[in-house]
Amino acid sequence: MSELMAARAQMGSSLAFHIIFAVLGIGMPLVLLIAEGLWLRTGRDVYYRLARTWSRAFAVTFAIGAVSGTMLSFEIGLLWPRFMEFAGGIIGMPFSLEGFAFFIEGIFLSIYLYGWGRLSARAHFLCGFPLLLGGFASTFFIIAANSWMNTPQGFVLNAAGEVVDVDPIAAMFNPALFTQYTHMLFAALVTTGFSVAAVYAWGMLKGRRDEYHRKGLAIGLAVAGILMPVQLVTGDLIAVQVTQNQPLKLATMEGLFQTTAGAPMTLFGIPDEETRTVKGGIEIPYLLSLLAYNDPTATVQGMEEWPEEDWPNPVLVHLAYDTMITLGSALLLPGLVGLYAWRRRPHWLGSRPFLWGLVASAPAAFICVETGWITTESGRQPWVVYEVLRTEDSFTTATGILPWFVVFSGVYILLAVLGSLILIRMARRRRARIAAGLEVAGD
Amino acid sequence: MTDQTLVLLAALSLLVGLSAYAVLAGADFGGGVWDLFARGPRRADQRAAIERAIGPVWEVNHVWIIFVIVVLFTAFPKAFAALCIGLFAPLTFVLLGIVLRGSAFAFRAHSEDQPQLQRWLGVAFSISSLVTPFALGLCAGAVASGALEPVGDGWATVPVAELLRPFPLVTGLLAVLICSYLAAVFLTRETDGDLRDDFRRRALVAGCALAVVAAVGLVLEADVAPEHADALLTGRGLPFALAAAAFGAGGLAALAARAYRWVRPLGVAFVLAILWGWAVAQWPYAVTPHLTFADAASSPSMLRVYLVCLAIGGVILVPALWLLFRLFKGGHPEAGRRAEDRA
Ligand code: HDD
Ligand code: HEM
Ligand code: HEM
Repeated sequence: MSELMAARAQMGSSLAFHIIFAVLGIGMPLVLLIAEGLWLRTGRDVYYRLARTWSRAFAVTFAIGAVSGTMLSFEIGLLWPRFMEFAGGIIGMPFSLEGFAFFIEGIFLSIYLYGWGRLSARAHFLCGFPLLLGGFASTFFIIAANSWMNTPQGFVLNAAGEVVDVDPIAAMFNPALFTQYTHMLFAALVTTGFSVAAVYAWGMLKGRRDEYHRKGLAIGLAVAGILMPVQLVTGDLIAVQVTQNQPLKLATMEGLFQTTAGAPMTLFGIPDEETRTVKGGIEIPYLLSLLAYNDPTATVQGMEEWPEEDWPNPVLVHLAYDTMITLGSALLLPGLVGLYAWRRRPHWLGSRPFLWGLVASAPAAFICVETGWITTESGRQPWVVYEVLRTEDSFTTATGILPWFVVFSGVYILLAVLGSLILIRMARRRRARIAAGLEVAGD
Repeated sequence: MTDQTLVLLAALSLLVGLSAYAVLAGADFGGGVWDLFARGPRRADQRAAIERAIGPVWEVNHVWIIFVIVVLFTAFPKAFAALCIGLFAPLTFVLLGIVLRGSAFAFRAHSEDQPQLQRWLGVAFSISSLVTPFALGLCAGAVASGALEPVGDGWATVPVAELLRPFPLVTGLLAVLICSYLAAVFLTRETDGDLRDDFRRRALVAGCALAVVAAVGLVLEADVAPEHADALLTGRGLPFALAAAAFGAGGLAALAARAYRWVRPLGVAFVLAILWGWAVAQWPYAVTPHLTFADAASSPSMLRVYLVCLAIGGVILVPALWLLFRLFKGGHPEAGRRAEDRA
C-alpha cells in the first residue's frame, strides 16, 4: 500500500468510526428529553428508568465520540497539512465555532450525567436542551466545512495560485450546506431512533416483554418512524443539489457513462470503466432524468464528459449510493407498519417478524449513513476541495503513515470491542439488580 | 483595527486556550500520574478521590486542546501545517495518549463489576496521562530550540534523534511535573484529613522537583535556544520569570504551612506565569526562527470574522463554564460525587 493510500484509508476508517458515535451524540439527547419529559408529565417511573439507563449508556458512547473526534482533528492536520493550510484561512470559521459547540455539548453533558439528584427535576430536564442544541450546532459547523469541500466558494485564486479575497461568510454558506445539513441531521435522528427501538425489540424477542421494553421501543420507533419520510425528502433535495453542483459525482453515483436523454436509473450492477457499461443491474427507465430534473426526457450528463483522470472510483461510489437508497427506502417500512398496527392490529407490534424487522433496522440505518458518506467523500475524489485542490497535493510530506495506520486501526478495534463489552455488561448488570430485587423493572 | 492588532489578538486567544488547557486538563493529566503513583495505606482512597475530581470535568477540559487546534488552523494555517509536518512523531504520541486516557477513564468508571478489566484500564489511563504532557512538552522544547526547518516550499520532519536531546526531554519532563504539581494542589482542596495530607506531600515533592528541573532547563536553554533564554531572563519574559519564581516559592510555603486557602490560586498563578513567560519569549515567532505569527496568519478579513465569533462564543461559553464548575467544584470534598454514590 502506498503512503497516500494508507492515509486515505486511515482518514476514511477514522471518519467511518467517528460517525457512528456522532450519530448517537446528535440523537441520544432527543430520546433522553422525550423520556424525561414524559416522566415529568406523567410521573411514571418507567420513563425515569429509561432516561437513567440511556444516560449511563450515553456517557460511554459520548466518550468514544469525543476521543475519536479528537483523533480526526489531529489527523486532518497530520495527514493533510497542505489541505488545512489552504482551507484553514477560508473555512476555519465554522471549525472555530464548532469548538464552542463542543464546549456547550460537553458542559451540559456533564451537568446532565452528574446532575441527577443534584439539580431539581425541572432544571435537570432543561439542561438537556443545550445538550441537544449543541449537537445540532456542531453538526451544522462540521457539515459547513465538508459541504465547502464539495462546493467551494468565498475566495479567489490569483494567477500565482494564492488565495485572495477571502469571504468567510460566503464560504460557510455554500450551496451544498443546507441540503447536506438537513440530510445528515435527520439521518442521525432516524438512526438513533432505530437503534433504541432495536435494543428493546431484541429484549422482547428474548422474552422480556415488560412495560419498560414496550415504552423504550415505542419512543425509538416513534422518533424514527415520524422522521423517516422527512429523511427521504431531504434525500431527494440533496440528489438535486448534487446534480447541479457536482454533475460528475452524480453520473458516477448512477453509473452513467454516456450522456443520455431520458436517462434510466440503474440499480446495482458493476460499472466497468473499460467498456463504459454497467454489468448487470436493474434499469428503471426515465427515473434518473425524472429525479434529477423533474422531467423524464431531460438530458443527464454522463462521465464521458470529463477526462478519465478526474473520475472517482465508479464501482465504489455507485454501489455505495445504491446501498443507501435501497436500504433507505426500505427503512420507511417499520414506521408505516408500526403506524398501521398501532391503529388496526395492535398484536402485530409484539409479533416476532415485526420485532426482527426492528432489530435489523438499526444496522441498516448505520449502513445508510456509512454508504452515504462513502458516496459523498469518495465521489469527490480525486479532489479534496472540488475542482480546486487534489487529494494527492494536500498529502503530508512526513513519512511513516503505514505503521501509524496499523496502530490506530488497532486502537479503533480496541475501542469498539471494549465499548460494546461495557455496554452489554451494563445492561446485564441492570437485569441482575432487578433479579436480586435491588431495582424495579418498571411498572 | 490594524492588521498587527488582529494578529496579536488572535495569538492572544491562542494563549488563553493554551492556558486553560494547561491549568484544567493539565490537572486532569496530573491526576492520572498520581493514580499511577498511588501508594501507602490510602491508595484506594487516593484513586477514588482522583476519579471523583476528574469525572465530571475532564471531557470539557479536554475540549480546550480542540479549541487550540481550531484556532491554530483558522488563524495561523501556515504554522499549523508546519507543526503537523515537523512534529509528526511526537504529535502522534500526544494523540495516542489523549485517546487512550479519555477512553480508558470513561470505560473504567463503568466497569465496576469487572475488577480485572478495571485494573488494566486504570494502568492505561495513568500511563497515557503521563505520555501526553510529556510529548506536548517535547514539542514545545523542539519549537523553541528551532528544530523545525523549512525545505523547499514545505517543512522537514524533525528526526526522532533530534527530539531526544536533553533540552526537549527536559521540557517534556517539566510538562509532566507541572501537571502533577497542579493536580496535587487541586486535590488538597477536594479532600480532607489524612488523604489531604497525602496530596499535600505529593504537591511539595512535585513542586521541589519542578524547581530543580526548571533550573536545569534554563541552563540547557541558554545553550540550545539562546535567544529564547535571553528573552526569558533579561528581556520581555523577565517579569514573568520573576513572578513564576515568587508564586512557586509562595505555593510551596503555603503547602508547608498548610495554608490551603492560598495553595490553589498560587499554584495556578505559578503555572500561568511559566506559560506566559515562555510565550512572550517565543514571540513573534510561531516557529522559531523561521515563521512569525504575522507571516503565518490568515487574511485580515478572516481574522476579523474569527475574532467576532470568538467574542460571541465567549459570551455563551463563560456562563456555561461557570455553572459547570460551580456545580462540581464548589470547593468541598463532596463536590464531584454523584448522588447515587453518596447514598
Ligand atoms: C439514515 C440514513 C440515510 C438515509 C435513509 C438516506 N441517506 Fe443519503 N446520505 C446519508 C444518510 C442517509 C448520509 C450518511 O448522512 C449522507 C452522507 C453525506 C451527507 O450529508 O449525508 C448521505 C448522502 C447522500 C447523497 C450524497 C450527497 C453528496 O455527495 O454531497 C445523496 C445524493 C443522497 N444521500 C441521497 C439519498 C436519497 C435519494 C435517499 C433516499 C432513499 C437517501 N439519501 C437516504
Ligand atoms: C463523518 C462522516 C464522514 C465519513 C464517513 C467520511 C468518509 C471519508 C472517506 C471514506 C474518505 C476517503 C475517501 C477516499 O480517499 O476515497 C474521506 C476523506 C476525507 N474526508 Fe471525509 N467523511 C466524513 C466527513 C467528513 C467531514 C465532515 C470532513 C471535513 C470537515 C471530512 C474531510 C475529509 C478529508 C480532508 C479527507 C481526505 C482527503 C480526501 O480523501 O479527499 N470528512 N472521508
Ligand atoms: C459529518 C460528520 C460529523 C458529525 C455529524 C460530527 C458530530 C459530532 C458530535 C455530535 C460530537 C459529540 C460527541 C459525541 O456525541 O460522541 C462530535 C465530537 C467530536 N467531533 Fe465530530 N462530527 C463529524 C465529523 C468530524 C470531523 C471531520 C472532525 C474533525 C475534523 C470532528 C471532530 C470532533 C471532535 C474533536 C469531537 C470531540 C468533541 C468533544 O471533546 O466533546 N468531527 N462530533
